[in-house]
Amino acid sequence: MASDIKEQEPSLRSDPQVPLVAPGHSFESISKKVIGVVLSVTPKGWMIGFAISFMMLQVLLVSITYLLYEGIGIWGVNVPVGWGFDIINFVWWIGIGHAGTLISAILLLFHQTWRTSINRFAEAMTLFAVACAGLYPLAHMGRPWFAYWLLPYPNTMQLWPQFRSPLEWDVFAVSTYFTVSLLFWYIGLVPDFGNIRDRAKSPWIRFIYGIFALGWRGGSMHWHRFETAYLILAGVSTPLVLSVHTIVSFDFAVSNLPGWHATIFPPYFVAGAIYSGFAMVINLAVPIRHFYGMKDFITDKHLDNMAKIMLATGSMVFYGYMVEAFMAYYSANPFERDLMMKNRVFGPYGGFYWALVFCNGFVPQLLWIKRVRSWEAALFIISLIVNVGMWLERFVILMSLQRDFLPSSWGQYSPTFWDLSTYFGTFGLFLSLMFLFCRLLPMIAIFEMKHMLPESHVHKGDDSGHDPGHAHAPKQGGGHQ
Amino acid sequence: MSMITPEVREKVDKVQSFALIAGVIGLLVTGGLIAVQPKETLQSYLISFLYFFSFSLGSLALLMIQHVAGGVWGFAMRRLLEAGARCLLLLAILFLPILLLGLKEIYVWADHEIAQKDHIIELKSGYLNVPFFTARYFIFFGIWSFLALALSKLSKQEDETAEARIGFWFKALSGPGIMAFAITGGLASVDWAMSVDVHWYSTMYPVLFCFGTILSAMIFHIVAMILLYQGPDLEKHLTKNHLRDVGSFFLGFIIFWAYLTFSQYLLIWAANLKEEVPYFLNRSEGGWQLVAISLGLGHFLLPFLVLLTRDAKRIKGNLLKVACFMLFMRFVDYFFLLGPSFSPKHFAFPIGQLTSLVGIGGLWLGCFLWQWKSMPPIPVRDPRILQQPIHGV
Amino acid sequence: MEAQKPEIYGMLAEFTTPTEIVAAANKAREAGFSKMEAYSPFPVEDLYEAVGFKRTKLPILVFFGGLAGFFTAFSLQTFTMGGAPSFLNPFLPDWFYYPLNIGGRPLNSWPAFVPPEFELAVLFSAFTAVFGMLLLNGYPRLYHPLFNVPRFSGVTTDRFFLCIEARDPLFDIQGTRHFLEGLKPFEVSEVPQ
Repeated sequence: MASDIKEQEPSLRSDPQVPLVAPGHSFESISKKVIGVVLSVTPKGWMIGFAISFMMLQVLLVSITYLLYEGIGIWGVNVPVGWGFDIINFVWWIGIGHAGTLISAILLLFHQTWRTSINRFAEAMTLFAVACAGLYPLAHMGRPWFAYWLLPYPNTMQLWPQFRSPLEWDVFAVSTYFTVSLLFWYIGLVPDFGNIRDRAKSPWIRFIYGIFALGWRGGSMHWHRFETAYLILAGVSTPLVLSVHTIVSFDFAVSNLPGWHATIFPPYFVAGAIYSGFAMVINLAVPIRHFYGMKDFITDKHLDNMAKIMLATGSMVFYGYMVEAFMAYYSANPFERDLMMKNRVFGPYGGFYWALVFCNGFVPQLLWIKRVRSWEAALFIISLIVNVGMWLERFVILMSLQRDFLPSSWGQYSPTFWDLSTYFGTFGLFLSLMFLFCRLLPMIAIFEMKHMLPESHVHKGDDSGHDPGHAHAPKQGGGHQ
Repeated sequence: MSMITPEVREKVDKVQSFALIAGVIGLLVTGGLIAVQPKETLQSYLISFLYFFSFSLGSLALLMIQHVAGGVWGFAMRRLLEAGARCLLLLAILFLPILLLGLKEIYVWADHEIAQKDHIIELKSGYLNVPFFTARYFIFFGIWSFLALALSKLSKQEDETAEARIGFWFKALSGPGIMAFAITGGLASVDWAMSVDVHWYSTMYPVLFCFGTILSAMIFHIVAMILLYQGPDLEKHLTKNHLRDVGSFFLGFIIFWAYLTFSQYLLIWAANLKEEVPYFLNRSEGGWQLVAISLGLGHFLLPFLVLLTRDAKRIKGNLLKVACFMLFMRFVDYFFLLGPSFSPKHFAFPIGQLTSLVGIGGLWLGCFLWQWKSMPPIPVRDPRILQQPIHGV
Repeated sequence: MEAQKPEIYGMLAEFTTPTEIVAAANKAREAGFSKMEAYSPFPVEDLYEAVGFKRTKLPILVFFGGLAGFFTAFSLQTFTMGGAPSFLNPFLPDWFYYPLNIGGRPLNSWPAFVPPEFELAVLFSAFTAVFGMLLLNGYPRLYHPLFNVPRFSGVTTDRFFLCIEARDPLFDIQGTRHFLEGLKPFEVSEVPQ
């Protein structure tokens, strides 16, 4: 992607025709509003929310501690279902993370300026979701203190990891994803840290945010390099996000198991990930814009656009189900056919399959209707259903394991208390981090929002440069010679 | 009055008549070859058909996508897409030789004697049988022609009346239309291409095929835009920003094609199952491996590296060169899709491949240009015309 | 260069709109100033060109960073897994040669090596982009003379500044101040060193 990016250089800019910021805002008022949240006294609602999340987090700590003490026997996994809640939740969480990258990277490349006000917390969501996801494979290792054995390094045993295994690819993919997302997020925050440094009264706050601001001064060449680097990061993150869920899908698809070994898995997993991720963004954006009064910045237009993306990716996922079902028949392979009919559709977990089709196939089709897309409550509920549906999807895929090729080794799977408590606990981790983020960091990218205002554009072609009556043509990036 | 300059119009007329004549001659020669060596010629005919079919079906898909998704790139390309989509009616006729003469020559399952002895084909016979196959042919082309004609008709109405409701109807037709495209296009790929290797199956195949049509159409229309949009009225719709946008799409699509293709290969390679892996074994010996390598280099690596640079997307001539080269690579891709299935482990390029390519291609191109001229080249009443960048040409 | 340090860092003019700062930078460049920089709360279109900077070379660095990542993963996997041509193997150090044969895959399983190659290419190019940008910009640098001007704190909110630095050959305190005042700024101030 490298040098392709410089092409698009000045494109953190907006099309002034679309009102994505409510009228009446100035550069100053945007800073004031967004930083006001960071510098003000802690609101009571936040305290209560954080306290609840923090208590949920303790459930995770207890579960993990007991796991380390007792071993993974406390979970419901056993032969033949050797992967259970751990991988379901790993895939579920990491999928949720993908919408954040999509919003910050892909929509940036497509000049979708509406992403600006949601990209910061969507990226935060990515990081926290990947952190939650990363816990599961570590916990499932049994001896997590040897996790570093997964990394390729010259060791005293002179042994290298198995590079042909998708699980090893996961190590590369997830760690790269987390690192790049973190860099992307932090780099975007640097100018805003500078803004907090300059606006804070307390010297301590100035000192702390000042360190994170790295001494940002906003020089023109600094901005130019900053924008270039930002676009390059967007450019490399776009294939990265595809590759991460592709590699996650390889965890299943590289095997020989019917129901797992399907070549459609990579694109269909990616679509599913983005789908659930957008559902989660809506689930977070609706309360945030209520409680923090951010309706000026996260407008109905944003919800509408996100709902449309959900509809598109949801339809792709549904298409994936249809292709799988059709190919199971068409393959004329008895194992594929039996898996589809006797395990999924009418099997012991058939109810889950139908619930999945309902949640992911039918419910999002409501989003064709404009009124549903502009109705906050409906959107919130649909997004919840979609998140449930995407969890069910991974569950249904996992349950291919319970019917082996050999009927004598068939078995059932059910989660134990500790499976459930770990899952519940990761919500605590996710929400606690999310609450801390809302409290401590500017949750909307301030400098990018300023760029959305019409007065951020340079009036060209007249020397004084200051002619209020001068109507300038809308620009679409890269217009200079 | 007309936006097309006289010089361009004259050239288009010339190319059109030349293409039509070449097409007729090509088809006649192909017809003669069918009499001599029916199997090879009809098989080659199918490959040529799929290649040009991809431009038309992809045009329809892109047309619907741009109606739903908006974007200035789609506005500038719209009339080209509509013309390409209307050529589906021609392709429906050009499919008839396969349906009437070629089923037994191309598809093993259509041959009763073989099919009865093969247990796997027997299990698939509920789907793969001649009457149902024919019915699907009518359904597919019925749906596509309806969409292409209805969207063109709305476009004509928009030019005449400028009614605001038309924008709604474009969307109302295109949304479900995209779903219909995905389903029918996917099934058509199974019917026409995948069932040639009758035992083989891959769930990625329909996705790869549908995406392949979009990629073909995108490349073709980049070439068409650069060549046809000349003169002051049209050139202003092909600014540097447009070029850069379509260039970025181009790059992204090539990466995505490589991603889908490689994923399919990797999964089948890694699982190494007896029922799947012969597909790739047939393609890795006897000269086919060279075609595979040329695809990797020419269909991905080379255009990828070239399009990364700034100048490839900014300067018309450069973009045109890359796009023309990619048009050729698209053919190699379709050739590699079915060629090794017809002649496993042994490279073969029958003479019928060339004549059918000229025949179908000539007719298709002539039809496309004729259709393109039949409507104003820019939908002037499209609300997106207001978003056109005025400077930066 | 090592001549005596000037007493002040430069002369700073404050503006309130992006249009003004671009016009001011253009005029200063045309007047022959070369050591200056314009500061803004958000990226202003073409401002760096108005100041007289050239397009950054960062993308080329990133391209080579990505290439380095690709080849790191490529050689790591190919050599350790015994995928290199066999005449090379005796030359590899012991710790770098440990072929694994699992599931009957060939030693040179190149399709399986692609995912890590891709990931490292992305990782290295992201590192190059971020750290290259910070390095070229001279960050982190927590202290800077400009922070001595109290009004400069507005630069991250809604103020635009043009600073002509004292190391500019055309710089002299009176003349530069006079020049900047001619640009109709909101305020002009000296930046103490």
